[in-house]
Amino acid sequence: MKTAIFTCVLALSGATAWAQDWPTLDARTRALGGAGVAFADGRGESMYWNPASLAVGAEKPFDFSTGFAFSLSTFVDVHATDNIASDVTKITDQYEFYNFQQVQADWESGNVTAADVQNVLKIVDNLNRLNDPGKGVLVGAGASFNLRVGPFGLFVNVLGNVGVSPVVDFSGVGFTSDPTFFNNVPPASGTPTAAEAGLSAQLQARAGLSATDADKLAFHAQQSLGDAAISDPAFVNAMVALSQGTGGSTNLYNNPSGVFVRGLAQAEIGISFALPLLPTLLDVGVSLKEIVSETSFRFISYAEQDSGDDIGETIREDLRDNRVRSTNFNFDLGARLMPLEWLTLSMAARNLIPMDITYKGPGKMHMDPQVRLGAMASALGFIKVGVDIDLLENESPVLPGYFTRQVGVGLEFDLPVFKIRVGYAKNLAFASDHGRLAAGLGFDLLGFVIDIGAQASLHEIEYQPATLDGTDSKETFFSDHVNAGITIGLNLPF
Amino acid sequence: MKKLILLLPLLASCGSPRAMSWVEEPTEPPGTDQARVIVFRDSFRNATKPYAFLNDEEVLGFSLVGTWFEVRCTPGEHFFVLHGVGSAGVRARLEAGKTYFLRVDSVPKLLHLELRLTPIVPGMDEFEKIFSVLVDLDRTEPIDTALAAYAEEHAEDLEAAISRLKTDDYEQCPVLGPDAGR
Repeated sequence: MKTAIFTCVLALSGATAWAQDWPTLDARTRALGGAGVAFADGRGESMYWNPASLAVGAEKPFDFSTGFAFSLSTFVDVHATDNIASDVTKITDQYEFYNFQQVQADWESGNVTAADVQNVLKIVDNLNRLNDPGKGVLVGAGASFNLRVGPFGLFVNVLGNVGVSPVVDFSGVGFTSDPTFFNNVPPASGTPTAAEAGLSAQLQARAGLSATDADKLAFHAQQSLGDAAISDPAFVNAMVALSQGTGGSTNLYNNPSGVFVRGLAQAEIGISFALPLLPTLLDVGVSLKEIVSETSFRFISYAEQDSGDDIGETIREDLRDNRVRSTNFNFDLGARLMPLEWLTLSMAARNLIPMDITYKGPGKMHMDPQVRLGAMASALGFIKVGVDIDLLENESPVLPGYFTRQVGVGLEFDLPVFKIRVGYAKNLAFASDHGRLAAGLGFDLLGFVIDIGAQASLHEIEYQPATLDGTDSKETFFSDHVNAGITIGLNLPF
Repeated sequence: MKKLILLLPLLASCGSPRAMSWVEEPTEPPGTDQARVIVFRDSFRNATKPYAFLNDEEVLGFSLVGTWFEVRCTPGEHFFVLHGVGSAGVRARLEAGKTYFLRVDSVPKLLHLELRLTPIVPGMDEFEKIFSVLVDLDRTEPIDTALAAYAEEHAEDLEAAISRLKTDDYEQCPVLGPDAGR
């Protein structure tokens, strides 16, 4: 829940951002599983997916008889990659329930109990589990305006994403700043298990602990977490790092782990043009655009969250202070081939100039080109089925380690007034992606269009684990990725 | 906004005037004093655009994708013209009592679309299978008001196109001879 609160704080601060691979802006494409390149036609929003679509129906260059169109779309998208919301909430709950701040103070003064050691090792284990690349929360929102006049298009896309990713960093961190800590740890008892012995051996060999100290730590780890958890190499590495850092300046409570919030707001403003290279057979198009980007970031440590202070205002201020604006020129290309009456093949490439976006925070924000293939088949005059697939993988600039390579399939029943759409989308580049079902409706009367579309994965997510003190029970949400949008527009022939 | 809403039906109807009407009745064979010409368009390409079909300067009908229509002509020489984004002509010499076939299609060329009006003549595979082709198409017939409106609106275009076909491009126009009918 705290993560959700932080995200809301960001949104309210105005640091909205966009950084998805190839975000779906319009409701029709959303309902068709994101297969926008395949279904791009003469509608206003189609130029976003494939600028060549501006030449659909053109018999010659500069053919204005193909019509006039405009569209206005807006959407929201929330995606928790892996069970990050629950994991982070569980950690903050453990900080509070185990009274970690007090435990740390006790350790600094030489008062170490077996229960405290075992509770703190649970926190260490949970922190460590967040260290997988790509874990995080992505929140996106945006709006789009497209105007088509014959083969020319004008567009303004304003999009935003906020990425919230966990950071686990035990470097230079110790259990306490008291170098005699290990002497105060209660002794081990009984015969060690194989996993326990293995952990002890690692602590002796890599952290230089004595056999007695290593045995004590391994014993409490085994009692707290069991054999499987303490055999995990990541956990072993964390224990080695913490043992090495004990007696140093940074104790465990003040470890620099937490969540890193990155925001990237972008506005694309540009023009598109399409040419019927071989009219009615092969169209090509280009979009030229100026992209104005605004980045921001804020790191929020677990200790800061646990402090009990109202940090909302601080976060807002920091995000404002960390803002940087930059401008990049870029362009998209597209081609559309109609070899058969019932078949359309398309290819579109977006943001062909790789962009390094100015960013004050650590690391960098980078956006690479994307190339997508689309194919659409029609039957009986009113059924259309299409598929899109990204040819490249993209890494999210706001959620490092989260890669995307989307595939989307859509089915449209193109009835005279009502349009019924269903689809499915999946990110092939992220192993924990659960796919998304898509659906939507369209209404088209005399060229006036209203579309609604939504996508949702059917993977239930635990966004609030049961609290350790029993005051709150587990709460779940039916989906780890939901989005919805609406488009209104007008499509008229001249 | 209110005015815009009221204008929507008008705007929507601007680009799609009804050019032909669909008919179900079977066609009669040509009489002894006339020839029949069937114009069909079985190619899907440029499906949203009708092409005008003329006998010399007279607009006789519009060729729509997936349809055919017939025209009755006096025996003798005629110059048939197809007009749309481009133009094509056929030099015809018709015999009474016979039925002739013309196929309409368009071919994508670099930066332009070439319209074709192709006589279907004995020896061509299509000639033997013509009725199986036509049975898959819908029959249409012209709407007089649409013909008149088109002729008036495109008078200058048509005049220029026909003039060019009859002079510069005349020799390239295919021939529909009297023996090409059945």
